[in-house]
Amino acid sequence: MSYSVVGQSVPRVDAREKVSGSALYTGDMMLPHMLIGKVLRSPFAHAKIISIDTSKAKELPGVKVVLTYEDTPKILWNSAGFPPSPGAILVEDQYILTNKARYVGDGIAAVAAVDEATAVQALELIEVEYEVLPALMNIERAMSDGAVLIHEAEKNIYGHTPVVIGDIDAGFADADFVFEDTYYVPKVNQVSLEPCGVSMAAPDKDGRITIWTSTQMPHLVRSITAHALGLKTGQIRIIKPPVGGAFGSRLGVVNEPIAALLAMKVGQPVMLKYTREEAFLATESRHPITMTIKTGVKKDGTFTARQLTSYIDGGAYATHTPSLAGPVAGWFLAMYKSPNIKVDNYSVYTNSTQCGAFRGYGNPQVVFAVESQIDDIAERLGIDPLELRLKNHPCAGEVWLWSGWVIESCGFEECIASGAKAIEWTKKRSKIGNESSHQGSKKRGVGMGYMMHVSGARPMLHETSAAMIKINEDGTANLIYSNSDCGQGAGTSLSQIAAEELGIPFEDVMITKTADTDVAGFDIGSHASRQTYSGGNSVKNAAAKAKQKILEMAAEMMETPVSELVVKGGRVWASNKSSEEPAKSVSIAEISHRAHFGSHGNQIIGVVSEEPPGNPPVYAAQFVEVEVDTETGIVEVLRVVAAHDVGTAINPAIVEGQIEGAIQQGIGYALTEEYCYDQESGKPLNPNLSDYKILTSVDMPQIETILVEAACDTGPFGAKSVGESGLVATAAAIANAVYNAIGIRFKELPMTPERVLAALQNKNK
Amino acid sequence: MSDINYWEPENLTDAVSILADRADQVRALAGGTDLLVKMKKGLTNWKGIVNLKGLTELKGFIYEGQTISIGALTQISALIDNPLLSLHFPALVDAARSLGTPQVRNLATVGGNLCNASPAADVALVLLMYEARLLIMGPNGSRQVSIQEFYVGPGQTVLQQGEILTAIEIDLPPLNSKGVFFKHGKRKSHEIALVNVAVLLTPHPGRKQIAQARIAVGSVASTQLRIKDAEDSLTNSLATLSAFEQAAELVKEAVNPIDDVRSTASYRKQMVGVLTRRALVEAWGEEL
Ligand SMILES: Cc1cc2nc3c(=O)[nH]c(=O)nc-3n(C[C@H](O)[C@H](O)[C@H](O)COP(=O)(O)OP(=O)(O)OC[C@H]3O[C@@H](n4cnc5c(N)ncnc54)[C@H](O)[C@@H]3O)c2cc1C
Repeated sequence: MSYSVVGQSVPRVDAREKVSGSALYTGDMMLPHMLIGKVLRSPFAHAKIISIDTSKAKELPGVKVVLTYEDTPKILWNSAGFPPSPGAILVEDQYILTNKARYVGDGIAAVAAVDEATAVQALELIEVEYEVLPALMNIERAMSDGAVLIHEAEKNIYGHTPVVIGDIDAGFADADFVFEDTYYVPKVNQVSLEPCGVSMAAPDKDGRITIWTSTQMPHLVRSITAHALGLKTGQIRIIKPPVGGAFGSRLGVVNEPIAALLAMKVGQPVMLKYTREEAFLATESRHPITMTIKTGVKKDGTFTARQLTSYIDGGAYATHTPSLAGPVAGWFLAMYKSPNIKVDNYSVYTNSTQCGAFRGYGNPQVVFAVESQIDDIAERLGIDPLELRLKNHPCAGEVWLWSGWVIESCGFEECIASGAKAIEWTKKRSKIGNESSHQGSKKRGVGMGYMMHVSGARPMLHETSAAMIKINEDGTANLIYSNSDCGQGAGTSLSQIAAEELGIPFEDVMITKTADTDVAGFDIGSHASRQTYSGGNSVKNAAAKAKQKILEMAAEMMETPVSELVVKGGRVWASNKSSEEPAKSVSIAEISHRAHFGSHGNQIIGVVSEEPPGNPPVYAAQFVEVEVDTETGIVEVLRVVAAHDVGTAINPAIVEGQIEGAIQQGIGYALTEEYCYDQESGKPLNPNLSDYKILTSVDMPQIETILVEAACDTGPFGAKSVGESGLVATAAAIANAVYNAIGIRFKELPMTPERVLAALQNKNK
Repeated sequence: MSDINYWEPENLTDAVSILADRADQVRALAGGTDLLVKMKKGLTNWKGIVNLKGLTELKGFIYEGQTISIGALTQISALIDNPLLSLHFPALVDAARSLGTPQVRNLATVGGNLCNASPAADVALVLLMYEARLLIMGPNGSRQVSIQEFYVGPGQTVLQQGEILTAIEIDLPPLNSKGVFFKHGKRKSHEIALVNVAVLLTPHPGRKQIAQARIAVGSVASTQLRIKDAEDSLTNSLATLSAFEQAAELVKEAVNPIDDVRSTASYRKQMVGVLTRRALVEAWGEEL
């Protein structure tokens, strides 16, 4: 199919304001009489609060309000951003300010003062007496006999997600080989450029409160914040200005209830802006998971049984964890076909900061483990790793176990073929431990990893989106949408979808760049890579409704039936029967003018609110070449070839940007990133960007993205998704390449120089 | 950060007297990339800062015969842009290039890198290898110390109350010598060295034997070190891989690194050996 706007790498709608520095983020805003909020955080990982004395802080000039647990509504709530849905398991275990500290950084008290210095000083004047309890910093300790309870959950386990398909024991009995391995992946942070946790709350005189917040999901933050505060949803208005990156960190409530509570108590606007350190200390990051995978396989590479047992370290509060256990099972069981599958996922409390959503939502963890083991299986069976994957992955027309729905389109074979060609798989794989420069100490290897991902969260979650298109008097169109673009470019892609459907130039569509829950219809936000597919469908359908009205009006004006009219380039054309006559056309501006001011007197508006028709999975195969310095243990990624089936790429530049940016996080996950705690005291060791190592631009390898556009029927113009998938397979591909280079299998991330060197020395002993 | 006093003296004499009068209470501020970070973290109880930015005479390069004098307030980025430094002191330029990020390099100064006295400092390590002389101005006039005598401990120097480092002098290294700086970290930019090494090798005229070797290492002890034993082992010896390996072993024996969040003592010890050997090989620059 040929499109006019779809498939074009048009500049992003927010590019100019962002590159020029004029975009106004939440943290840039100021209101008259605005106060600055600050949170007092527990210095202990686990402690009872015996007493709090705020009197000195309250007396400090400039301090307007000091709040503790005593002042918070006694409503238990859960911060995770889920709509009420079958797959949302919401354990409510937190208060806005806690009466027991469960991690270093847990919010004990909050102040609002005339300026930041006064607010900070006020925190220092709050006197807290703690009774320190043992800090349980890992699942082993948390689940051990007699461990103190972080909440009221036996052995600190608060969720078990079992899945059984077929007969797992029979499956293992049927196997020629059984592989069993345990993998561990660490806690890593999203590190969005704008630190997570920025909101400004302003109460009005009518009992409502407006909250500007850097969020991915305005509507869900509205209802969760209302619940936590004991308000009606309609009493809150959420405005989402530009957001400086999210990657899941803002997938739910962050600090909006604290800002709102302070503002309501004092009757003035309050800005609550977390520092980078606070974003590390007190906002959600990726779950560490210990995964044991057992796989039964026939000599020919057919799987007879696949089993996953995982312990998910959710940190101090439940938030997303029990719900994430579902997709963790889903990613595992849907990747490869097997008649017998068993999953047991356990959610465990520890005294670390609560974990939540991070690009991929459990998939990078699972794929690292599964794809590492698949390579070991391939080696043992003497089968090419590519072949083993091609033999066992689910294809178009088959049921995808994640959703239970039939797979619409599959570009995986092409991903494998084009990726393997680009990396020169056959040539490079044959030379294991390929030596290069520097006194023979550097060894090269290539490896790959495969993944599947979603284009939304159906049927686990309701995926409601609403869009409204109004055609202005001059023929331009406003797209009114709860635009939760957090930097990924979804607002631009949605505008392209609207322009394509309406048949008007891209520049003539103006999307609401700022989301406002008082203006746009309900939308569940930016998550699960859903904006282009789910949001895109509602935008396309709203545009189709508007277009239908445009055509009807044109039919009247042109005295031609609708069936003979087409819209193109901002005009409606009559498809002329005889080619002698010049083509008849009328501009949408004229049509809209007639609609507004002719005898009908109504503006052309198309509105929908709906759930998307499906959830088509996407595929990717990532190939990497690494060089391992066997004297220093440093792994350098030289090259990444990322072949992704995304369906139709609405904006190829944006799609490539998503993949490249994700790979930066994927390499960090594999090699350098790990948020560490002192195992005794529970103090975080690296809550800053000097010691928490995200890769810089000069660390990035050459990346080649290959877009495989296996369009699907239900997607807007065939689009599926790309937002999260770029990092899902990266760590696995790197681990497999490292194995190819030095013959050592790493089952724990990150593969730091210290660990790699130690493993090399162990091997040579 | 609570309220503090702030001065912006226009000349060195004023700066010295403000610092001398208020003694421990106030600190000199150059680029602020160490100082302000510490203050923001609340690690200090200083009552005031004296911003040296008005002392333009402490900025820039002066060439005199065999010596280059670098003003203490010269920005790290200025080292990178200087063609004569690239020619004569390539290791210094490499160290400058490896420091922090472009934003940090535009603020950070050479003097600050020395006075902060971090065992990991990059530019300071190369200056130790180039045997810099440090010019100091204080309430009792000026004095000069060798960089070897400058450090007292981590974060501590011989600077007395009211003293300001004004300039750093380095002599052109011997003809045909080559200096090399290597830094080891987990990424290629914005990295505090896990280990850094600066070496200089001067060949005898026949180019078979080493006339002189200098080896300076950082991040492996409480201050940066010259490793005399290793240097001596190379003097007048044949340049062979095994000679370099032996020198690297001597370096490993001489250091005493620590475990911290960035790495382990054992890893650092191994790396100082690898880096030293590689730096020596690179400095020799020919097939061995
Ligand atoms: C993000 C970041 C990354 C960094 N990366 C590196 C790195 O890779 N390598 C590295 O070596 N360093 C690094 N640093 C540390 C720092 O940038 C350097 O040490 C820098 O050279 C310090 O210079 P400054 O001018 O900013 O010093 P300041 O912070 O102004 O001063 C540092 C100390 O020296 C004193 N002082 C400064 N100048 C004088 C003077 N003329 N006389 C007397 N006392 C003086 C001050 O009182 C203060 O105690 C990094 C810092 C940051 C924030």
